[in-house]
Amino acid sequence: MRASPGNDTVLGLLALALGGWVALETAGYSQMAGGFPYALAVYLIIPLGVLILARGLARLRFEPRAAETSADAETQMVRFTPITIAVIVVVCLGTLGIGLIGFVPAMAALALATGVVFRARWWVVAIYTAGLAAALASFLAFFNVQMPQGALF
Amino acid sequence: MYEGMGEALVFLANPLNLAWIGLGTLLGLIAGTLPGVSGVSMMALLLPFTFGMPPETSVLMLIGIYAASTYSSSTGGILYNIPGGAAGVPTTVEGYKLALKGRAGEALTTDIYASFIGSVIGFVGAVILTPIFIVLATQFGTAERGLFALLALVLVGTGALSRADPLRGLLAIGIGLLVGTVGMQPNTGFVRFVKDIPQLWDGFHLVWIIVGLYAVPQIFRLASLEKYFEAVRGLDLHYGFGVEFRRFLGLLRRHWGLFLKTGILGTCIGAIPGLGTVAASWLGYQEAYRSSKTKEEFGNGSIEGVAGAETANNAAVPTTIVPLLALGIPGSAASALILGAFLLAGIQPGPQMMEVNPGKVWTILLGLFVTGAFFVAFGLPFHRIAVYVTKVRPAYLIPAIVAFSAIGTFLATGFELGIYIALAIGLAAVVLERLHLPVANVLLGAILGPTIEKELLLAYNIGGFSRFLQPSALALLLLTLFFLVWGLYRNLLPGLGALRVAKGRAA
Repeated sequence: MRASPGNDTVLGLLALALGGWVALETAGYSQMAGGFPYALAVYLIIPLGVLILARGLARLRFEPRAAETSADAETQMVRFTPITIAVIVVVCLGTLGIGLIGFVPAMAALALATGVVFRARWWVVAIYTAGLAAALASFLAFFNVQMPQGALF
Repeated sequence: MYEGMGEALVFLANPLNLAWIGLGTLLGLIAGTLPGVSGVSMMALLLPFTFGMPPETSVLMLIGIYAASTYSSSTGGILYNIPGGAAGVPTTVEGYKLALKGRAGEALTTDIYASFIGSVIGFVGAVILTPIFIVLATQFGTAERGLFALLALVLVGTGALSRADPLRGLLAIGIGLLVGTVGMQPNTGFVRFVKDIPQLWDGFHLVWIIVGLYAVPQIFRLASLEKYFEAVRGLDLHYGFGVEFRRFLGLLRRHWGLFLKTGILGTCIGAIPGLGTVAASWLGYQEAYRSSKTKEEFGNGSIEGVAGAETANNAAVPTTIVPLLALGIPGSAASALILGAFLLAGIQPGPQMMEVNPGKVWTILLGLFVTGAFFVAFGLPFHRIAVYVTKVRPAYLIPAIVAFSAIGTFLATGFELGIYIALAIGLAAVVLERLHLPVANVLLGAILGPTIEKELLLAYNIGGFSRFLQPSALALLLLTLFFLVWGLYRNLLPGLGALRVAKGRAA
């Protein structure tokens, strides 16, 4: 699937922002230490950002709008549906919860929340959550893995 | 050159090692069949758990996943028109049409035996090519190593040998190279970007990057694929193994030349950095079309198309590891993950590996054949299980994948910070994928960046610019420039022409 002109434009702007930040950050380093990232930013990232942005703007101006999609591309790429966004939020909160409430409780909460997002049957979710928590606790204990904040609390 | 082969055979005869390869093969079959889960994602998920394993075992398990998922990426395509990965697309085009005509059994059987023939040809190719590459690599100095890595990145980034967008490819390489510069500069020890965070002074750990780029987006991809999982529930598949095997033997007798040609084609493509199974698959399909006497069947269900694509893409699997074993330079995302397994075991692959650890090199090469045999043994009964695999709902897969990604990331370094960095890299990867940036290039850039910077600076410090004018270094430099210019010219010029036409129409 070919990228849309809008994709080109956003990507070009992001590349310019990244290249500009790296160039400013490494300008103060010594030549030996900062030369490589500085050269990458100034001679690769920024020029590519300019080219991609220019191509995006030109295509926005001249190309007819077309919706291009295929099953193959869809299976290779994340699509932002309400469910996907809810899962992203749940996964981020669950992962950040590892440091706050411990690994196993955070993952159990994540399993519960994911079940709610997908509207799975409550008793299946309850059994699955308990099973996952038990499996993770056994795994950590068996391999003696000391997770942050302890395995449980 | 053949010393260490006995040691390799003893290693491969150990049932425990065979069990690990078998496990990798099974996981690869599942990964390739599930929509949205690629073999590389499965490798990324398991890589941290290989810590502490003998390197040969972990590498062979990962190769088992890669080989089996390359084969099974077309299983889902034939059964329900959803390939498990890009390498399965040409087979899907023909295989699904055959399934609609009631010839699913024939398509699946041809798929698996053609894959096996391809993997055997690829194995022979890897056994022949690796020692040759190693002999060549022993002539390389610091400048040549750095320049070869640069050449690999240019081939991957510009899509000089494929049809990828060179601007996006090179930008992804650039971002990867920048990721690789975080932390201590290899020659001076100066800390870049993260002076205030001591845990990052050694840079981003490879496992954080791999889990972030491949395992985390897979979690969100599964969430957005719920409707596909619903669509494929309820499939049933029964056919006679013996009948289909005899039918395949007939196909092999009629088209043995096609199997041989596409196998050799795939073998050569696998050894070139920047190409790999996807390119091999399409070229094999193209060759099947070119040499077919029944061209009208292509697009409507051609068994020759399935045979050509599958033989070529599976022949490319064993040889993708050749540049890695010989030069220590990965040419694809899968071989970058295999490099990760070597590094976790404290081994740097490269020409010296054949001198220091010839047994390990031969174990991996001979193990490639074992993985091929395993996926045929498991693949036939797996066709029937594949239907049930797709019945597992993402709601139950997602928490398990998150949990094991987090444990794996933590195990790699023992830093809680690593889990959050992997998550952040994963979220960034989702955005980059939406913008059509190839994340495999980011991974290759991040892995090869420190090598390129260290080796080129070292070469410059030793011999100045004249070091790069010695014949071997100059040849590599000229090749890099040639592929850079050619890739840009070949891919950008048609786009400019199309834009001019569109501009004319708009005017």
